[in-house]
Amino acid sequence: MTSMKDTWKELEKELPQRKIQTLKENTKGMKAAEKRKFLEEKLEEYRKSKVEPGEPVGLLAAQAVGERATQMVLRTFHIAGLTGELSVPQGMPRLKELLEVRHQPKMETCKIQIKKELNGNKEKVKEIARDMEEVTLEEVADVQEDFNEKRIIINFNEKKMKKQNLKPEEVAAKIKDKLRKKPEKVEDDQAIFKPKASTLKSLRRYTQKAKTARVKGIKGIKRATIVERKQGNKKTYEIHTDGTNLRNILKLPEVNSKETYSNSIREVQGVLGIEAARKVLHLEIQENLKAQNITINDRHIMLISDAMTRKGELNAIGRHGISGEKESVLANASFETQMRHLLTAAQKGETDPLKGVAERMIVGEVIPVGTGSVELRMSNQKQKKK
Amino acid sequence: MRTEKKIGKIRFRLLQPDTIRRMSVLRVVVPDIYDDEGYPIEGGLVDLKMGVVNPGMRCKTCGGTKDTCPGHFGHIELVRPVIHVGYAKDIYDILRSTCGECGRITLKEDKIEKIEDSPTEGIYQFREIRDKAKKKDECPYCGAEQKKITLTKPTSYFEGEGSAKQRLRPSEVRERLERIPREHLEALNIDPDLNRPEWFVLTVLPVPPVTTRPSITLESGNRSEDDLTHKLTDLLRINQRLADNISAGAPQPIIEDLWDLLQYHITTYFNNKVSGIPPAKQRSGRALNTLFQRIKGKHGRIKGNLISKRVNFSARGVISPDTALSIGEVGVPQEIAKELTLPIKVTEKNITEMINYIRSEEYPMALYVKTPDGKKKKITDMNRETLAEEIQPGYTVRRQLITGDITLFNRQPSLHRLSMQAHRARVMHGKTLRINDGIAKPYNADFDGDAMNLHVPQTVEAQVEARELLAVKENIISPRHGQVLAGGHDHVSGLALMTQENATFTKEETLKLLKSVNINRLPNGKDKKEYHGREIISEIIPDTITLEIPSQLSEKPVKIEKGQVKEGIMDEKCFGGEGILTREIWDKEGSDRAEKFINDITRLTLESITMKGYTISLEEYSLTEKGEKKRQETVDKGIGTAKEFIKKYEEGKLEALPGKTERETLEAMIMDQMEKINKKTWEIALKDLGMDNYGVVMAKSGARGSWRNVTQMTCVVGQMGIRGERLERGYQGRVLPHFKKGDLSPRVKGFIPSSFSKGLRPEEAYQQSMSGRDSLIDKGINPAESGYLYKKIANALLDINVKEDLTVTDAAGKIIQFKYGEDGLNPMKARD
Repeated sequence: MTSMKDTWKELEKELPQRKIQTLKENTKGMKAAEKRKFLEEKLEEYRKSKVEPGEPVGLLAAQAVGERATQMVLRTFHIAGLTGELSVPQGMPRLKELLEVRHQPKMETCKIQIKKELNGNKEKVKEIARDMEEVTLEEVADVQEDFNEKRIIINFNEKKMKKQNLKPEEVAAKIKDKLRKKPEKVEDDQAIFKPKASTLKSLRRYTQKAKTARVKGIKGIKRATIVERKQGNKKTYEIHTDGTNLRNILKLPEVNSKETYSNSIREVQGVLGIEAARKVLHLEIQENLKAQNITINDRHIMLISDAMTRKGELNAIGRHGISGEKESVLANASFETQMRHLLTAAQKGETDPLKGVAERMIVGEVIPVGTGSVELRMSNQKQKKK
Repeated sequence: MRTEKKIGKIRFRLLQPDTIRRMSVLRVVVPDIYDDEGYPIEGGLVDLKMGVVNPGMRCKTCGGTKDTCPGHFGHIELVRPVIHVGYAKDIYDILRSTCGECGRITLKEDKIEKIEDSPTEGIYQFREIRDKAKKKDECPYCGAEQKKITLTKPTSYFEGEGSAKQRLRPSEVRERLERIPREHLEALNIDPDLNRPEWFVLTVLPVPPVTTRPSITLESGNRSEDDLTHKLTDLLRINQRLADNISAGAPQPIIEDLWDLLQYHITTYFNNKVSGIPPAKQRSGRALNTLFQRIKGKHGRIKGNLISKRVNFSARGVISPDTALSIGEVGVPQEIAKELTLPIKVTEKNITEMINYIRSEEYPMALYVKTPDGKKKKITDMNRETLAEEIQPGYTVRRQLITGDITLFNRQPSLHRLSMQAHRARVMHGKTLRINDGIAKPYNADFDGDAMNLHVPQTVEAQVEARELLAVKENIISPRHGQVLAGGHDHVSGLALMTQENATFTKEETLKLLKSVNINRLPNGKDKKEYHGREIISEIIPDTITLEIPSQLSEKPVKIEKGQVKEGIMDEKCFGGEGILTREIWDKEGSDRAEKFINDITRLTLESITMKGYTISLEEYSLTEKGEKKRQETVDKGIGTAKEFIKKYEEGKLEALPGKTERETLEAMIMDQMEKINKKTWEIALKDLGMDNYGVVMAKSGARGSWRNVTQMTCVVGQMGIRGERLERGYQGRVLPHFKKGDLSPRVKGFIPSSFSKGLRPEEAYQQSMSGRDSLIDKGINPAESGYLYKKIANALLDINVKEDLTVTDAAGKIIQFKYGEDGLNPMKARD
């Protein structure tokens, strides 16, 4: 007979900490014998719930997502309602974006958390949001060309400048960086530049440069709106942006960098690394499916995001990602660009180890999953001898 | 004795000219196929040395017949070298990155090494080298000038620019490739041990054996040759003409033209869909199917014959429901059972049974007997008796399908593994395949004309796997989310009907109900006048079950104590939807008991529904006068509020939401308001119709229809929309001519205050059809898109499986997860 301590030890060896905690709570006040029986039952139940070796979990994950995708809505944007939250693409288009690791997703957004001491202050948060928005010169000033003198004349719009909390000197300094030329004159309502332009054509180019020059804000942030969150009685505010620039947002002193979130997997990978990207990918797929009222076990989504990130970089699903980089020639040739794969295989002198499902199917062998994954077999003859 | 061999691995390489000649049994020279007597010409394309396809002939190489000769390759000596189209681009890349004089890569060795050391691999590494090398004007080794090389698709190369542009003939290309030193091949993405780049330029062409291009004899007696044979004759003819012209000393331009023609034929022989050149056609105008087309695509060799295969021992038929069957069974018409056969090994135990099958002259009979040495004998009236006496253990008898045999049942599209499960066959009268409708859900089947496929596993191994792993009872729970996927709409209605507070059954009714599940006693053995539905249901629940399940129909949850339903009204959460009760039984009592429970509950509920009657009518969806008044008030009030928003907007007083324009804000607010109307009227309908209303019960229990369906029929159809927005298009400034231009009010923009039961006004019918078309378009696109997405995910994750230590690896054995799902639990069984 094992002691109570041993039973616990055994449990701790196999069960995750989370489960141990609930078990401890549930067994409070139980008699020893009862407790042991209960725990043993639970351990048995847990062992029964383990995956069987050979289970084709990849295919299960694919089926779980694929089967439900039929019921997904095609609508690109969900109705954001009256909360003021930005509408993010939903359903099939978004799922495709995520799995293909698109370079330019339809809507990249950052959910910025402000540091605790500031996040209840609506005005302050508003200010931070405003300062974040990208403003080009065009938006705050009228830019004209002086063809005779080959100059660029910038007439500031006072009202707009004030709204954006901008000073002419600051703006001129930014333009200076962009045009690589000191201004000829900076006044309250006007600034004049004379770039090194010999022809009118090159002057026009400089003007365009000046017009689109960012005079304020963080690059890539097209819009920043504040969103109210209620925590009990306390109202807090966070900023949601249209367009992201995580690297620079995290540098802002007011930002709670630990809880700020970006929905752009590529960006997160670049700034925070592959593990963070994996987490974001997981969360985004999960969120997307949840919004469609689709219940899928988290393990499936986890597996997909793990498979997509295991090389240390983002690997898309599809012929340019995982499917195109398999070791097997035949597996590659059985998907999309078939002939190309066969031709290069011959050129490189590749060898197909025939370890995957598709290849084994092609050569008429047992597939290496499920009952087919067992390589050891009892010899018939030896048995007879006995 | 035939030895079995397994393919261990497959190595790919280029076919070397020498190898082609060595493996060839004959040099094909004659472009004609048959002589005047219809006999294959020697040295022609169907020379008997290359194998036989017609019965009665013998192969001149191996002496085999049609069935035993595997076919043998021949070859054609090309008079002039020709580019292989598949490698045209690779040749181009190699020419550009190597020196035209000495053949070395025009990069210094240290630079090549540097790129080789970088993390990029294979084709990407080569591209890097190519991009750097092609810019060089001078060879760093021999100092020769590097001219620009261009490729005119598909197969012509030129050197130099402007007026100095000169054609590089395939022979010159070949010479250049020959000069490339072995040490540089690896950098060019070519295996130096196996291949040489000059093999990209063909000097000799293999002729595939006739078995790969069989000719067919038409009914009229005419021979019809395969596309490949046609192509090869064309090719041979040109090759011959070119040879004749060269030996006759024809002028250079004529030879060049013929050479190009030969190139064209060889290009289209490989790939008849090369862009830039017209595809080769048969006399009828149909484009020929040549080598690439044979391999490529959905119906090509790989996807059409190697990955997917046609099968025998299968049947397809329309399905219909039969509750008398267990969910683990499938009803097979006798006509089908007669056609489907399976081999049974004769043992000492079953020999009498087998002899009976052989002797039998009607349905359950044997069709073939196989002797231990592999001889197959058809059973006829003549030899029936002799065979019955001949067989002994070791023989194999092929008999017809009988009740109890295991079969695989499948409905397409096969979106998940539950789309194909193993059912025990039950041979029946009738002409349809039948299943219990409780198991229709995982197949996504209904009985409005759906057809399904039936397969009979042939080996014992397959049969055992089907029984143990694919059986319905083992797959009641979906691996997607661990919920039970059995049960249908009517079963939920029946459950709700039987567990309602006032659901009482007389003694006779109770006995009749229980009889349907083979229970021949009264509930709990108590003799009473009346029984509650819960008592009856408790009879089929195992005693070990103690459970509480939330209910959408009653305030109190469904309480089950030791198999007795104490209180609460059961709905889809118990069975049919999430199926919590079924799951509990499956966990505690095992799959056999769960199967029995599902069988019982489907029969019981359907019996009760038939007994008590369950129907809806127009009455069901009509409000009382009081309710109607309330409904009208709610709608008017809602529209009033929306009009206030519009007034505010028009006066410019509407405060825009962050991130939205004023107009967008208005739209969002109105949409929100209209949705509120729908929700409010549902509450009114719920009160007005009451919980005795079958329509409401169905919606609430989750049997069929949602609250929105009920509301649309009784109260308000609600807001119509296109692409998630209010109706916009139609006439100028308005949706329909019934309205004023520029009016923004709800009814104008597609809010329908009428109900389906009362009927729509003409303009409302138009508006509704607009929304209807929109969703129809969506439905058309979605399956195609999601099907492709599924295919991609499946292909990417296909090889991933769990190893003995619960690590998750791919085909190459590379680890993806150290412990599956971080806790090693099966998503099907885990309860978190």
